[in-house]
Amino acid sequence: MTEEISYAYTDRNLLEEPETYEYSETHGRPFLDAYREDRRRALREVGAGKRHDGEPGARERWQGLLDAVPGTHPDVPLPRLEQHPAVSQLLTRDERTQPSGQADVTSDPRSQSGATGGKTETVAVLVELVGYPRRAPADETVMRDWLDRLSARFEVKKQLFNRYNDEMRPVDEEPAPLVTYPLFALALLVSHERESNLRYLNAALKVGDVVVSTLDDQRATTRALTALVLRAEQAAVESLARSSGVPL
Amino acid sequence: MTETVDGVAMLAAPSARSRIYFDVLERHGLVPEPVLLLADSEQTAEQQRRESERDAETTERASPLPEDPQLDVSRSVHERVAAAGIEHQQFSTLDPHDSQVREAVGRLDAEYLVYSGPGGVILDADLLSTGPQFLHAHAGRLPDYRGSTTIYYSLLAERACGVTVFLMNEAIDEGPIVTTETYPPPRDPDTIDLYYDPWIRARTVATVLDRYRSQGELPTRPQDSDAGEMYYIVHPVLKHLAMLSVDGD
Repeated sequence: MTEEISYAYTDRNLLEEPETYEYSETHGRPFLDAYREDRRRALREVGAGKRHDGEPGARERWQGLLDAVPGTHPDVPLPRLEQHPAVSQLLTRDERTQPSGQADVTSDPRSQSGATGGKTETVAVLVELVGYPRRAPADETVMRDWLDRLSARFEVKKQLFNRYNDEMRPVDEEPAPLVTYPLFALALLVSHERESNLRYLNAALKVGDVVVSTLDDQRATTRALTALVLRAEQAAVESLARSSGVPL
Repeated sequence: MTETVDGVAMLAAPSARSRIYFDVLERHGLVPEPVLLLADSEQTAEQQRRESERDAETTERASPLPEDPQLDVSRSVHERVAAAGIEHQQFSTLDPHDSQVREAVGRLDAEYLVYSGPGGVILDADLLSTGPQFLHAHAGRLPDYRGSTTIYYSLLAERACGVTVFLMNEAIDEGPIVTTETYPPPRDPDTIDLYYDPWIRARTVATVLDRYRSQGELPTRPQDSDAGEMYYIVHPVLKHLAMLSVDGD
């Protein structure tokens, strides 16, 4: 008789009750089935599978990222991030130029200044890293630099804060908005796709758990982004399973 | 009669890892002496965290590891050092930074201390410099695999397991390297956490202590602190993929 288990890493709001993943139990194949079913359920919940391009003009805005994760083939309605209040203020009307409030991710994060007053706006950095809108994601070195810092922060608290200082310590205890997490996961999945480095996929899975565990609180733009993340995560896990000789 | 190795002491937590270290070293005639034993007299968070290890410790004599039919994890390190007449000291704490433990480490007349303390504890520079040099076996090839649960990452990336024995310093997994060895995947993936990981570490420690006994020194090579990767505790999906990939071998 096959063991039936549930996926226990999204059954509560992980921002309120963080998961440490220490000494995680093992259940063999049924665990992977439970994980995949959990993600499929989340995708159904956010409305994936409706084959249209989402918001008008959204696909071209995401094209750089879609090209960077070619295995994703999103059948999800893509969002326009400008519609999210945490992002809209970062973008100018002319999106082809450097947005005035956005982070310059190519500079040393320890010397960030200017519009953010020496503080790193987490959402701004992530929007820039994933190349939204109409650009390619940041190059590997820049990605690595930022993802290392953000991952180290995330692994300690299992959440991200809205702003960090030059030493990547939270400026205050203000939590990052929920849209931060799918953006973070996307950046991690882009780096995993480029470098086949498992530490990025590992972090993306943990951030994915946070994303799924907070679905009920996400606004429409964030949910659409979540669908894109889950598709990309699904593709990365399936690819790793294939190369590891584990049929799914 | 239990054979010891001169100039080497051991610090052991009550864990499956310490039992396996002692068993392997005893069978190789390389038992450190004295042995400092951390005890679990109080219900600490660390103790709770290691509950899974203790649950799996068996009182059966049968080896839980197909690679080593002689492996005996049925008795605690305390029972074994007492039975073998090995000099030892027991502490009513699991904290290696406890003042009594620190003082005992400082009094040791040994060049090296085999460290098998509680997992997840970062040792401070004071403790590391108070007595012998701390020898630690990390279940990953350094500097490529720094951090936590690296055995799963290397299984997925290379279908192999690495162990590095190095001298600890205050930076995580960055101390000078004594030796690095590579091992095949475990025959039974269910043994990874509790038995196979500590066993390959113990075997590598045995190799190092044997070299020390025959050569009287342990040459090291420095690590490039900018090289390699820092891994965080493995997500259960990657852990299961790693285990199932071994199952398919």
